[in-house]
Amino acid sequence: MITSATGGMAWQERQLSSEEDELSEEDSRREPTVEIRLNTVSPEVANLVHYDFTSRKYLPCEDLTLDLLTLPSKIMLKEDLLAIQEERALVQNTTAAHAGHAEGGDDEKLSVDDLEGCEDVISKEELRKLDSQPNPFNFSERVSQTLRNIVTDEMVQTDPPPSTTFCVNVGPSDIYDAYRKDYAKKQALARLLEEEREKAKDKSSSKKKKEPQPPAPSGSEVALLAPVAPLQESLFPNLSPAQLKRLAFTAKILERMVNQNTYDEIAQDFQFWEDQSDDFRGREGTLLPLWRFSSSALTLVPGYWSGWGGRNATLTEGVRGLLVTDLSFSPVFSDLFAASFSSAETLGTEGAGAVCVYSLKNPSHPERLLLHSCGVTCVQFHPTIASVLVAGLCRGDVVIYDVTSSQAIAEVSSSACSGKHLLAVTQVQWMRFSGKLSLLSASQDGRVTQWHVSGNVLSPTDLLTFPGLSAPQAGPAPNGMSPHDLDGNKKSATPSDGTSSRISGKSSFVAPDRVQLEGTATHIALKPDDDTTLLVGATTGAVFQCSTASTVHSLVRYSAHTAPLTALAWNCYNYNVFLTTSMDGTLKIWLQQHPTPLVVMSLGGAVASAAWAPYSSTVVVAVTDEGKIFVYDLFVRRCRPLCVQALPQKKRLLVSSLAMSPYHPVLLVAGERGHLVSFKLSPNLRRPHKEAKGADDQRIREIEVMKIDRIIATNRG
Amino acid sequence: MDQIKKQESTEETHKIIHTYPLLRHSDMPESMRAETIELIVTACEKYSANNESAARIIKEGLDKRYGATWHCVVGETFGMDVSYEMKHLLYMFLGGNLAVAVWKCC
Repeated sequence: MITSATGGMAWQERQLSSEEDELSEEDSRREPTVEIRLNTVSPEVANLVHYDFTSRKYLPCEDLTLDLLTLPSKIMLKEDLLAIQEERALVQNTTAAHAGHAEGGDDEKLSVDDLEGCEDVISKEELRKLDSQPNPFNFSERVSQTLRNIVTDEMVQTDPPPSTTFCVNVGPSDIYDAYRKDYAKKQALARLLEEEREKAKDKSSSKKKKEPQPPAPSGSEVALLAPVAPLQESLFPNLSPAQLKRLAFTAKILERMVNQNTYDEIAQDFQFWEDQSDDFRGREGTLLPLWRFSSSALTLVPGYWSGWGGRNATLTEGVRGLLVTDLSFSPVFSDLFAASFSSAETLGTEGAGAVCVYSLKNPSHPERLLLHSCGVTCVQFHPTIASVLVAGLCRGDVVIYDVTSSQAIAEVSSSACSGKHLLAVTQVQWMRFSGKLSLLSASQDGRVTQWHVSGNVLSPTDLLTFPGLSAPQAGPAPNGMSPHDLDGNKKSATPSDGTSSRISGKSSFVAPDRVQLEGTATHIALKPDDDTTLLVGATTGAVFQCSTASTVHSLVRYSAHTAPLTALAWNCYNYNVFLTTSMDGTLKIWLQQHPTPLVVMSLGGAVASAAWAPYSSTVVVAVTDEGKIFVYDLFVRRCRPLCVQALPQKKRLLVSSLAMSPYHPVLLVAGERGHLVSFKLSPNLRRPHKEAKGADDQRIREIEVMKIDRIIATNRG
Repeated sequence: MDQIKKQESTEETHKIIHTYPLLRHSDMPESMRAETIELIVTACEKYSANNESAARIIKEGLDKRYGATWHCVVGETFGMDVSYEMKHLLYMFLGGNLAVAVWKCC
């Protein structure tokens, strides 16, 4: 009896065969049984006694071990195994087996296979005996047969790319001859050209229209206008102006070299790298960030801080205050664009501003820097004359620049005497077909004005007058407007005018000539093929279509949005289609003369700006003020964008403008703190139509028109 | 008579040395051709004394931009007869004494 099981357990194994010697040897060889017993051998047990009732006294416990568990097993002692093998080796030796199997008793690697191999030397009986031997290795085998894939060879021969041969032998003489011949040809050509020129000169007396002559800069801007020269003079007081000029040229080359090496990776990406992962992304694409343009150059220029009213502002403060208000790509040079900056948070007259003309080749410093003592709100390059651009200022000025040379930047400004805007200019737009230089401007004071450039003077003609913020009547009252249109700040002006009250009430299509203007004009867009048709977007969210030619304005009102308009742009292929975006978070695409939009897209946040892609008639790029960029291709799918990507930025900043390059698949996004970043659109976002492969320009244009026409047909309803 | 001869001799010795890049043969598309010429001129100006390095730069640059496999020969005197992938060959002179041939072939 065991009273306590707390004692240690021990394995005790006992081989029966060794204990029971009386068993025959053969039996023991066949079945070497091992028992594993679990019993208690605790030393405490020695102290135990038990009461014997028959003898009526305590007796010590005699058999202290108790079998708890007995397992029959095939484990045997190592010595026994050795004995068996020794004997087997002996058998083999006596039968004079081959030499390879006579290794001796310590050979543990005897396997059944080996034994079968020497069947002829071992008798069948012997073999059977060996078979019944336990496996010396603890051996288990689990096998399952699985399906085997059949290997076949399949081959396709593709056509190699077409190739031809080229054979040439060249030596110094060949090179010399080639240069001689080419030089002779060039000289002959030059002579021919000269002759022609002389002929042309003789025929027509010099009667050439010239662009506006660089006028003398006027007023307060003079001090701010040529900032580069004073800066250099202060840095290099020992140099003469001529030396400075040469130094500037050399410095420019050096700067270009440094930039070329610094931004080599980006330049390579921009030109050659196409995102291969687009092949696996279906229709979606991505935007690859390229250059980040620095506006810190602005703050280094002397005179900049005077715009802050002598405030003790730090450098970072100055950059933080900068807001990029507008972007315009040059339609002539593929790498040039202009950005307008304003230091004021609101479009007030305080603070400083600038127009920077950047080149994609030099993101660290603008090519031209035009500083102002007030914020610049909008800028646009002339569509054909590469060096001319126009800017609108917070103060209400419209300024035209000729930026041919960085040394002498010509400037024509509207003057206060002859009807300049009284509040900030919101948008400027060149007219294309008027022959002379002329442009349109919209301002917060409510006027939409056409400016003619004659010499150094900008002469205004008011086209429309919106009720505006305070509606101060500056210039002559515009023609063709009924009196109540002019004085009406309130939308529901006169109860007698049924039409106008209806407009403000619900969004309905109103016949021309009866529409009342409302809000202030913030955006204007001339129809690309026709300078007389003008779209004007107002702060109320409405868009008006009117004519610049007729004095009796025929207006069409589109009830586009419920919040102020942020962008207004005509399609690049079909000139009857335009888009509008607004702070109310929607992007709408309209067909001219249709009261309802073709497409409405909600971007889930106030839309800061949007633009049509120049390479496709159906691709729209939009950005919300939080910095999310959306790329839609209406032809591919209308409900979801092909790409949604947030601007990579550390801090939250508002985005204000966006522009697409007319030459490259490059997108510019700009916002607060002088943030100005460019992106490359991945191949999926500019995938051409199937039929456009290998087509010429004319055909591509037809295909693009077909695409937008199909969108119109399916959505007109 | 003497004078005339003298004049002739001075005219003969007065040779104009041309160094501008002179395109001899190319079937590349326009943009590719411009890129390639620019690359070749840059490389040859950078390594004006070492044609091997120039050839290496040209070959590697083209491989990177337009995919493998490009071949390039830079030298004053050589002869070649190659087969190449169509629209991927350019052969030009440069610097008055250097001929450069690049072509693509697998």
